[in-house]
Formats: sequence, C-alpha cells, structure tokens
Amino acid sequence: MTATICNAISATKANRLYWLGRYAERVYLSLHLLRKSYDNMIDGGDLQYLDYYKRLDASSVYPDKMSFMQGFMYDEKNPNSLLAGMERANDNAIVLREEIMSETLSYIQLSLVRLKEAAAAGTTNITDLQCVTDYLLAFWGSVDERIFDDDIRHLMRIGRLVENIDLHVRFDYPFFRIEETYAGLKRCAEDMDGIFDTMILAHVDELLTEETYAPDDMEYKCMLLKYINHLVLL
Amino acid sequence: MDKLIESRDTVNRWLERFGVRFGIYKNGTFKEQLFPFDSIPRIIPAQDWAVLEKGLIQRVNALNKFLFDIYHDKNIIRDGIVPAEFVYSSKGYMPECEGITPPQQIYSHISGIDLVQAKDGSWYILEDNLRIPSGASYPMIARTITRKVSPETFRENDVVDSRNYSELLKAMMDHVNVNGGANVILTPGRYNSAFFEHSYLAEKTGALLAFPGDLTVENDQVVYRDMYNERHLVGCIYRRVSDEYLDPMTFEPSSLLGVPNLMQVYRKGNVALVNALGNGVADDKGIYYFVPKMIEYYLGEQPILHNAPTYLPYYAEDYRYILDHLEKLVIKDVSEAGGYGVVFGRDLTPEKLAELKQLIVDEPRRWIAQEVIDFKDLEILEGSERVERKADLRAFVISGATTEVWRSGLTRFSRNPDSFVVNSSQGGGFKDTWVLKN
Repeated sequence: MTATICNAISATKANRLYWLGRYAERVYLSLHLLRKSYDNMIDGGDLQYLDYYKRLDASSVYPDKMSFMQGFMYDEKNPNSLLAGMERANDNAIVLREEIMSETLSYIQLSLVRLKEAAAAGTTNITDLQCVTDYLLAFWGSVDERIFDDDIRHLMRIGRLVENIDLHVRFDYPFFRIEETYAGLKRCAEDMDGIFDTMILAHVDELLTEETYAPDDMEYKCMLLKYINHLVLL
Repeated sequence: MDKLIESRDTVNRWLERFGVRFGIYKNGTFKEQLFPFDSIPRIIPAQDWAVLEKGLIQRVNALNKFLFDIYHDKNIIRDGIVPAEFVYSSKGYMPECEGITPPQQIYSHISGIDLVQAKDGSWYILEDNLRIPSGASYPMIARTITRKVSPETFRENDVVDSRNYSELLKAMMDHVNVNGGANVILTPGRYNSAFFEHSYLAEKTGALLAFPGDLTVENDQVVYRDMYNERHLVGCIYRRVSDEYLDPMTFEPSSLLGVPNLMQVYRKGNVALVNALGNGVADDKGIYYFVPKMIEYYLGEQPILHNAPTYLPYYAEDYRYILDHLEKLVIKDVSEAGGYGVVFGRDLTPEKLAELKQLIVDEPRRWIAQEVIDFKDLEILEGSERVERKADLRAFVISGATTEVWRSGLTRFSRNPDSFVVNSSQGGGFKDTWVLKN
C-alpha cells in the first residue's frame, strides 16, 4: 500500500533544527565580531581582547593577544570558538540530512572542513576564513531555496534570530538592529503554535522598546539575555 | 574515461562536501572516516550481467523460501537437506519468529550478495547478507557526482543509469506497507558506522528518519510522535537496528535502540519490518554451504551462480580434508562478520596452525573452510600510478512486487597489496560499478 507522505518533525528534530540555526548564526556573527575585534587590536592596547571575554561571560583563559586570536578561532575546548561552534552546528546538521537536504548540509560540511584546515595550518589571519562567511550565507540561501516545509525553515530561522539578538545585545548594538530582528522572530513564530513561552514573551516585549532598551545597564542586559534564551519552548 | 579517472580527487572532494563518511570504533573511540573512492570503474558487460542478474534473483528467491519454511513447516529439515543442528544452533535463528508470516511473505527485502570474480572470469558467491546489508548509498552518490564531474564519460560509454536505487527501495517499501501509514527508516543514531547511509536513503526515498524514542506502540500500532505530540501511523519500518536490539520487551532488555512491544505489532501483521526478523539463520556462514541445495529443493533448478568451494568440518570427509589441508585454505568463524574472523592458513606459523586445528576439533560447527579463490585483480590509482588490488562486489537484490537486482553495486577493494580483505572497516576503498547496456 502506498505510504502516506509524512512531514512530521519529532520534538528532538525540532530541537536540533533550532540549535543548528543558532550555531550557524553564532559562527557567522563571531567571524564578524572577531574581525572587528582584531581590527581594534591593531591600534589598541594588548588587553583590548579582555572586553571580548567579558561580553561572552567567558573566563580569561588565554594569557596574551596571540593566544586569544588562536583560541577564539580554533580551540575546540573553548565553546565560543569558531571551530567549536561549527562542530556543534555540524553535530546537529549531520542528523538532519533528510530534513535540510544534502545540498544544504554541504555548506556546513564545507565550513567545518575549511576551519579544520585553517586550524591545522595555524593561520590567524581571519581573512583566510572569508569563505566560511560565504558558505554560511550560501547555507541560509539554500535553506530558503530548497526547503519547502515551513516548520523546518521557521525552526531554523527562530534559532538564527534568537542567537542574533543574543550576540547583538551582548555587544551593545543599537536598538534599531535588535528591533528588526525581534520583529522577524515573532513573525516566524506566528505559524508555530506554542513555540514561545507567553509569559517570557510578555517580559521581552516590555524590555525591548526604544525607551527601555539599555544595554549599558548590566542588570537590564542580564535579564534580557536570560529571557531571550528561555523564550523558545523546545 | 580518462577525464573521469583524472577526476578522482575532485570526486573525493565532492564526497567530503556531502559528508559521505562511515564510522569506526578504534580502541573504544568513535571516528568518522572518508570512504576513499577510486575513479576507475568496475565494468560488467551486458551479457555477463544478464547471467549475474538471473543467478542472483534465483538465489534470493530460494533464500526467501527457505526462511518461510524454517519459521513454518521446516520441510527442508524433515527431508534431510539441511541438518537441524545447523538451523537451531545458528545465532541468527530466532524462535520468537516461529509462525510469523511477514507482509507479502517476504523476509529478505534487501539482500546484499557478495561475489568475487576469479581470474577465468567466473563469478563466485562469497556470502549472503540478509539482515541489514549496507553500502548501496556510496555508489549511489558517487554515480551522481561522477556524472556531474565527467559528463562526457557517460555520453561516450553505454552505461546503465543506476540512480534508481531509492525508487526501487521506495516501491518495495510501499509494496509491503500494511496500512498506508508512513515509511520509516529506523536508525540507531549518528554513532552507527552506516549512519550516512541511513540519512541519505531517508532523504532520497522520502521516508521519515526515526531515532530511538521517536517510535512508540499504541493500540497495537506503531506511531511516530511529532513535536506537537500528534501521532502518525507507521506502515513500514526499514530498520537499521539489529534483531536483538529491536524490541527490549522480547529480546535484549537493556536495549535503548528499539521500540518496546514492536514484536507484538509485527506478530499481528500491523507493521512491515524490512528486513524481516530472524533472517540471520539464512546468512549464517554455515548455512551458506546449503544454498545451492536450497535452490534445487525449492525451485527445482540448477544454481546459476556457484559458491566458493566450501568445506564443513561437520561432515567427516570435509573434516579430514580441512585438517589435512589447513595451510592452503581460508578459515572463517561463522559467528563473525565485517572481514573479522577470517584466517588464511598460509599466513599462519606452524604453532598457530596447530592452535587453529585444535579449535576446529573442539568446535567443528563454528568454522567453515574455503579454497582460496584467486580473485581477478582490479586496477586502482595509487597516487597517479595504476596498480592492481583485490576487489569484491556486493550486489543488491530488492524483493518487493518482483525480485530485482540493482544494476550497479558496491565494488570494494583492498588498498593493501597483500590483503584479500576489502572491508571499509579495515581500510578498503570503493569504486563505481558500471553495467553496460550493450
């Protein structure tokens, strides 16, 4: 008997799709933030990198600027490094092949292979990783181009936008950048009943207005990050 | 074809890009490795393939009849063709399957039959894999890539397009699907050595890929629960989990990989399992000896394809022959797989030969012995140089509404010049298998 076409997504897969979106965005934005940080260090003092640690709530494990650069690019034990983030993106993507298709998965694989090659070569010139940025943009293009299931796309995009808000808040981006992303996040959730914790959503709505947005206030920032990271029910 | 051969590294990069890997455990650590592709194809002329195809269909049809017989009337035992102890002492025999008739009476839906070609061109069956034969996905994806990398090669050569494996698989799953529910591929998870294949076949057949915990039994049906906790009926499970781990309520109680109470649903005919449970009794290395006899018994035909000359220490005459000629035979432990438990007598020291003899004397049922077939070597590229290496062929036979042979197969080769062992887990590579149209 011909089987019913079934596009059901298990709770575990939904969780993986969300985290794939988060990790892919984390690597993409980290590349951007590291580029900026390295650029600042050209003219700034040797201790400028400590600010980067602080924003990510990371403890200071690297003794100097050079080891910081290496560590945030390739240290697999550093959960904030590019390589660790890409490994985690791949851990999720590799078990989602049938949902995202081999072509989409290939951009995660390419990014990981390139990062590993760069790590083996020990290069700290971040422009050598421009192709990882390109692959990740192609990855999201492939998601839009090849994935027809709305739930799959929305789950990944929700992960992407949550991560985007998280990192932009940590690095004190202006409100208009956060506002647009937050509006996009809520649009993604419109068709996914019960994806947000409604109480937390109400708190985020209160915190994310032009009047209330205050990334300089540590208490505010901690509360906003906590709510954003607990918003999605997966 | 030169363009294709020169493109080996390009093809391997594409395979890497698509995450085509297999997992391996070494010293307790899991590692994923690329499965090296060699771009010189194995070429099988149309007339040779016609014989192979006929012989493989014949063999698999007989094996399916044997499995039905063993779990029902046991006529083949009663008629003295296969000794009862070979069936009941086989690790693959499952008393829990007695009396169960799988949907459409098919046991081995996907059969992986390993063959080698001797130097005189004749083909020999090395073993039948009727439980969870793996490997089709590698030549599947390799063909897709090689056609892109070197289209002129396929324009200039009359090669059968083999990209229909997933269609054969889907048609078979639909044929045995009991209720029109979803087709599912059940994987043990990412750390299974063949996980790439599970996920790729799910993608290409449109089946759901289910992980342990995704499937449950409710009201004597198997259901897949989605993120909204809605239940979706399942009609066919292509399970890539071994029999003993498939249902902790019937088999290994500590298994977290299976579906509790699945046997109850299967017994009632409310789900199809691909391949059926209990098939191990027919692909046991000891039972292999009897397959030509099965063909004659069930089909009334002479076997088209031959076994490698095999001796069973169980029979007195063979027992004496084995002990007298151990140094020129290959000895196989019937309970091992994946190229393990295979010993070439010629490689053993006199002390080791004596030890092996004693093992055979102590447990004759545990061993089979075969003449060493001088395989036809195939050319592979070693760097940029062409060298010859041992190779086998795993042919895939799909049994659904009809029994069909996939017109390709997995050609594995040894990278070690002194080795006959071609398994990927032991460092081998693979080639595309071309079947010519004319």
